Formats: sequence, C-alpha cells, structure tokens
Amino acid sequence: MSQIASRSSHGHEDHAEPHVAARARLSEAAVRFPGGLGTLSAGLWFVGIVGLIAAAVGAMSTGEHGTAHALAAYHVGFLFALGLSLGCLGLTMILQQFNAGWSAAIRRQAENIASLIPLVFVLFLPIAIMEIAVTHGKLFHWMDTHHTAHDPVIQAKSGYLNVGRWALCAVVFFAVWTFFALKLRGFSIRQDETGDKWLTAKARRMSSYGLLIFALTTAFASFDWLMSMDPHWFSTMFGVYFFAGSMMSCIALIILVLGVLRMKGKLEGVVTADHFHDLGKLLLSFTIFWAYVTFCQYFLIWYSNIPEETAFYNLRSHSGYEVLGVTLTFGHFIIPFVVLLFREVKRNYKLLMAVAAWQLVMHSVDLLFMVRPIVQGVRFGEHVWLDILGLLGPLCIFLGFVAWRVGSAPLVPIKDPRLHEALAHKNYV
Amino acid sequence: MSKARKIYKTEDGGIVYGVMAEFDTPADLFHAAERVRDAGYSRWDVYSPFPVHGMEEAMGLKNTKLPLLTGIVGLSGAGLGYLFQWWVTTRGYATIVQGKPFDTFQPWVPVTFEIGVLFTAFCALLGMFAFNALPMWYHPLLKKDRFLRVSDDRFVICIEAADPKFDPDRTRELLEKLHGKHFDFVEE
Repeated sequence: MSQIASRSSHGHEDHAEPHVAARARLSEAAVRFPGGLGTLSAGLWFVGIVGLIAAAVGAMSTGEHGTAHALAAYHVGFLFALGLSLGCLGLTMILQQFNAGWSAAIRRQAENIASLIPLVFVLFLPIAIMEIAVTHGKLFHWMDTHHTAHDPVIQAKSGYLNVGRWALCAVVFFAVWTFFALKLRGFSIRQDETGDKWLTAKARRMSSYGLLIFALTTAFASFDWLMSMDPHWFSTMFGVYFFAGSMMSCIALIILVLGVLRMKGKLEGVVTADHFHDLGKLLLSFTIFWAYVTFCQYFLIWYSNIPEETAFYNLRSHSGYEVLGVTLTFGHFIIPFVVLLFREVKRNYKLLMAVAAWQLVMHSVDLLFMVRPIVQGVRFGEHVWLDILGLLGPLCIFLGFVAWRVGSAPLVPIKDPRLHEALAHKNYV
Repeated sequence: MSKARKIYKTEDGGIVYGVMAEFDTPADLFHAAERVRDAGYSRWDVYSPFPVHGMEEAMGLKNTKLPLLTGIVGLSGAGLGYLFQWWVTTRGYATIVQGKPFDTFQPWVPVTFEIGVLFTAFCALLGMFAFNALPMWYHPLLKKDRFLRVSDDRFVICIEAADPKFDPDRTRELLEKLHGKHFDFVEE
C-alpha cells in the first residue's frame, strides 16, 4: 500500500515509500555514534570500582561471615551480568532463527551486549578462584569436601558436584557462549561493510543448532552456579527459571540502551514507537513467563510438601526473606503486569524505560532472594550496604562496558536485508 | 442520539439510508476517506475487497475501548473466582485435603488465573460482536446490485443519512468532488 500512502497529504512519515525514506533515516548522524556514551560508562565504572572496594572491605571488616556475605553479594552482581549477556545471546539467536524482520532495527544492541561474555568470564574468575582456592565452599557448600564427607546426599551427588567437573564446565560454557556471541556479531558487522546477504543465512543456520546448545548450557550453568548453592535441593524447573529472568532483564536493558540513544538524538525514525511497542510486549510476556515459571516451581513444591524440597522455601519464608518474596510477587509481577498492559506505556519510550529500570531493580531482588539466604551467619538486614554495593560492583563494571560498546559499530545492522522491513514496521493493534 | 434525525425520502417514497459512491482504485478511496473525515462526517463507512493499510487513520477512527472493558471484566472475573474459592474452602464446604490449612491462597491461584482468562476471552469475543453490531442479518447496501462488486474490484464509500452533517445535495457534491462515480441513494 506504500504507493497509495505516499500520495497522501496527511500521510504519516512511516507511510512514505520505504527505500527513499530509509536513505534519509539511515543518515550517518543517525546510525553512528563514534563518541559513544563515554561519560556514562566512566560513571558506571566508578560506581563499579567503589562497589568492588566496598565488597573487599566488607569481606574483611564485618566479622567471621563477612567473606561469605561479600562473596554472595558479588555473586548476585555476577549472575545479573551473566543473565544480561546470555539473554542477549539467546535473543539474537531467536531473532535470527525466526527471520524476524521487525527486529533488524534493534538487534545490534543485543549483539553488542552478548559479545561482552568474555568480560563476564573475567567477572566469574574471582568467585571461582576464591571458592576453589581460598574460601573452600562458603557459597558452594559441596566444595567443602572435609565437612561433607559424611553427608550421604552430597556423597551421592559427588559424581556431578565436584570441583573438577564444575570448573571444566564453566570454561567450556564460557568458550561456547563466546564463540557464538562473537561469530554472530562478526557476521553482522561484516555485513555492514560488504552487504553480503548470505551472511544473514549463515547467522540463521548457526542460530539453529546454537539455540539448542544455548538452552542446555544455560540450564546447566544455572544448576552449577545458582542451584548447587543449596546442594540438597533440586528443581527441574530451575534452568527455565534462570532463563526467564535473564530474558526479561536483557529486554529491559535493550529498552534502556535504545531509549538513551533516542534521547541522544540517534536512531530517529529507525527505532520507532512501533519497535518500543514490540519490545514492551516482549517485556510483558517475559514478566508473565517469569511469574508463571516461578509460581509453578513454588506451587508443586508447596503441594507435594516433601521436606527435601520445601527446605528451599522454608529458608526463604522467615527472618526477613519473606519480605523479598512478597516484594517479588507484587513488584516483579503484579504491578508491572498491569502497567505494561496499557498500550501507551509501551509506545512512549520514556515511560517504557521507567518500567524497564524498575524491572531491572526487581530482577536484582529476585537474584538476591535466591543467593542471599545461603549466607546463614549474617542476618538479613545486617550490613545491607554490603549487599547493595557488592551487587553493584560487577554489575556496574559490566554496564559500563555496555555503554562503552554502544557506538563500537553502526547502531543498526545497516545492510541487513531485513532492515527495510524493520523500518516500515507498524503495529496495527 | 437525543436529537431527532431528519428523514429524507426518495422519489419512490423509500426512506434514505445514505448516499453511496464508487471509486476505481484503493488510492482514490483512501484520499476520499481523508476528505470525508476532514469534512466532519461521523456516520459513514468504506467498503473494499481487501484491507487498506492506514485506512483507520484516513477515516479518523479512534482506538476501540474494548481492551479496557476486557481488562476490567477479566480482573473482575479473577477476583470473583478467588472469592468463590475462598468461600467454598473456608465457609461453604470446608474439607481437609492433604492436611493443608483451609485458608491458604496457593491452590486458588491456578483457578483464579483460569477464570480470569475465561472472562477475558468471553468479554473480548462478545464485546467485539457487540461493538461491531454483529450479528447483522441485513444491511441496506446489499439491496444494490452494484454494491456486490465491492467483494471483487470496486471501492465504495457510503455516508449515512443518520449523520448529523448529512444533506442529500451537499454530501453528494462532496463525493463528486472526490472523483466518486455512480452515486446512488440507498433505501433502508
């Protein structure tokens, strides 16, 4: 219908003939950002370093359980960063695999964030080195072989839960993720220069088996780094639970990054209200998905009422942690669910950014709810500054790199064969 | 609708439903719709063999209120479902199941959710029918043989006599200016 609309005197700009309009909208000024968000990333790095120093100080100064507390706080930040980059890797693969035309305008930001996985590995090293060599299982109790020698449950699981396998898997997982993230971004960047449409087909083919590997590695990573902190407990839903939170948080981060770019006057007419509308729908659907998975996990355990399973929720339903649970129910699901139902919230990117930022805060509460009760020696509410700053340490360093990488390539894949479809994208409902 | 509607009659004595005009291309239809919208008409419609993108803007149609209604009904349904289960398990037919306490919200969540979905779906479907005035067994335009080509290769605008701005001569003049063809008065 484009030729009809282009004759319209009242026509909306998006109705204009696509190729002509695309040339104007994809101007150098709109899609390149060589300066990048330098100030923002410097600020985030500063907060991150302050957080790391605070975690180190807290580990040494807050008593005998200070190390465990600081490690747990740091671990929350690490898991947050991991979820953001893994979510973006999964999102890139899904969008490529399903040939999603509308998403060409937003995919580059996901590729950028996914390609930070090597950095997440660096953030992982302190945890791994501390736990294996120094603290011997303050977070991962099964690593403490001296104390668990007479624990029949942990003995029976020792074929899987042992340091050698754990460390090897970590290296393999990060290698696999790095491979996919750098390859997929590489295809996309190369296409910006050559315009070779077959690179899209290559990325699509790689995403097909990549998604399968991604699903398995992500699930087992969540078993290794989150679920095994409570080595007696198990939940087959846990991989999905981690995936749901990761996807929700990564979409929230993409909304924030694109929103900041729009505020800086970039991507005008490239990432439109219609793209934010769709990102908002994705944020809403993953908010619902997270709630669905979380409730299913809780509900089945509550119903069957088997002590080895209920221990997990028992630990989290008193001494202050029940406040986190209620906060999550309302703050992570009910309130954002109702707010995101409104069309105007999804189409107005500044409102959507506010919801996305809120959801990122809630995601940190979710991770805190998972990790923090493991530290038995420190009452919840004691040294809250350590919880907050320890989390902000690795997270802000990661986010600083996200801001730093924003302008490292054109802000959209400028020669993607689906970009014209993305520019003409409209939501009719 | 409090204002009494002015009744126009054709030469045969039939009551005028509206005036229709044909257009050859979707482009003509699109631009004619924009002009009819700008002329301030409110009770009129366009007919086309296929959906014309952007037509809702060209016609100046507002977004439907159905989502809001559906949301309210859905949440009320969920609330009713919750209340009903609370009454059954704690007041009406309190029965011990698996040694669980009576007054506990966990088992009510799935049913609350399902009833919320049920009410939402019914409201969306029935509300859609109601807002579109469906089922509609009869429409005055169907009496016109020429109108039947609208399911093949013709594009039609019909402005209803019930429109407050309707005037047999001036409305026809407007459609004429917009390159409409084969004007005809439609009888009710």
